[in-house]
Amino acid sequence: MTVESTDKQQMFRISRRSMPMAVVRLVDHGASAVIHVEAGAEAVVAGILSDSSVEVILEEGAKLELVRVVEAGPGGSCASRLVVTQAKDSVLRSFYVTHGGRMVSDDLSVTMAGEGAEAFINGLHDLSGSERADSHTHVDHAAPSTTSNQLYKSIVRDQACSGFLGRILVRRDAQLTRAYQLSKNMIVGAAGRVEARPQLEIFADDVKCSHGAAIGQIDEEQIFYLQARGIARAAAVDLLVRGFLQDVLGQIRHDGLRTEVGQRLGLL
Amino acid sequence: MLKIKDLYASVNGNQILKGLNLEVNAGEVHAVMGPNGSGKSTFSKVIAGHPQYSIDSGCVELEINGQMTDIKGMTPDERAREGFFLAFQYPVEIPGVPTSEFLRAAYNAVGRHHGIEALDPIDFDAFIRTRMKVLQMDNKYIDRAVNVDFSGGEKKRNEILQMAVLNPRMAILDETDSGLDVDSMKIVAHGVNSLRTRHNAMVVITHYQRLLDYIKPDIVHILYNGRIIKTGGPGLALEVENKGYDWLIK
Repeated sequence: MTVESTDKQQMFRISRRSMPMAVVRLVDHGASAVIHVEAGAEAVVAGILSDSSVEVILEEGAKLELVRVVEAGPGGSCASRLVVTQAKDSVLRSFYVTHGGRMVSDDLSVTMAGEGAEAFINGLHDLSGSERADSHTHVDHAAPSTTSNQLYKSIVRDQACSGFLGRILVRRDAQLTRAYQLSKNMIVGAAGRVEARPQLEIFADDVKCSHGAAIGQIDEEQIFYLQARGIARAAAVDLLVRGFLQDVLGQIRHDGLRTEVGQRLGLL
Repeated sequence: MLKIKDLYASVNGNQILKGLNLEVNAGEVHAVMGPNGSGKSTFSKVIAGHPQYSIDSGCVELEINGQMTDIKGMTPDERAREGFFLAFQYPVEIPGVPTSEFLRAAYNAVGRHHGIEALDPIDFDAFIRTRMKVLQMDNKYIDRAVNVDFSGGEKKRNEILQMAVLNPRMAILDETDSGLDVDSMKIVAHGVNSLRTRHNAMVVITHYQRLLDYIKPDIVHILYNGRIIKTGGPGLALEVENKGYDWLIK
């Protein structure tokens, strides 16, 4: 791997000769990073970020797992951005998580330019107080037989607000595309707000696409069941929240990172 | 152990229990039988403290630290920590929460209250496996989410497993036999019987006599229209099996 760093930008170039599967750490200095994974190479990249812009280039058959933990600090605001271009048969696993802030937004854009490219795009908003977080995703299926799978979940406590806008574009030539998107949200208490907006634009005719958004509250029958086993209400709510987030956290393949993110969220 | 005096209770504004009296002493097993709609499930939910069920009058006392104590003001988890247990007729599914984690959280919550040291996951695993053996449960259940993708019989075994883990002094088993085939029922009954001691007590709610062939009650009550209308020995259950409830209601 080669790393070139300036004050403004970090550049990572990962080749097949790079150390296998060592986690590359992004440094947060409010600037930008470029991650270039060469043909056939694999990389795991993680960073605790605030304002940031990350650009990813995946060459043919390249694989990248990218975990971004975005922290604005209490009452802070920040905007982050991820732009990915995928060549033939490349695989992206993107995981985004934030505790929110006064105004925290993420823009994620994936262009699947090569046939057979796959993207797993996951996000988690864990919000309380009067925090807000918005995630915008834009997945562009520009080549045939490409697959995208999005799962975004949010926990919304107190008066917090979670927004998800997910756009999927399937171009005319992108036959045999499969594109899935799911937004699941749990409101704890009465004052939280969730805005979930899926947008699909499909110009090819032989594709499989689905999207869904679900917004639910803590289930009182589940709480009663846990209480009936001696678990106090607050601990029962915690257990249910952890259960709700388990599947999205499980999308992180790298064991060490999954544990790290889980601990950071207080889930483990 | 449990004393219910002239209990009137409602759910959603409908009064279901209308003057129920019941007294259960340590070492006893009582059966409560009755036709559909007689108030059997309301009875169990009220004693467990379900928030949708309210006590209109009368009282429910549980023996706590050797004293009969009114539990009306206690939350469901406080009741459970004081040794009350309800085996649910319809166990609740909790996606994403592994059964092992749930059981350990419950065990530690109750244990802590009684000054018993919390078990870490490894020690708890060893403890739980001995309990599962009695119920002939496969180890794979504890890694699965609570009751998710469990068959009806597996859910009921899981209820009794929880009872075995928490070791309550007073348990109500709400139609634990419903949805069980004969083999599963024998296993569940064996599990329940293995937990019977001189120091604890149980109320077994059931529609059918057949469960009582395996869990032998000392006393049988017939619940109808929110009240106990007849109390007798084990023979009463057999009589109901043969003659139905009509002769009691008239």
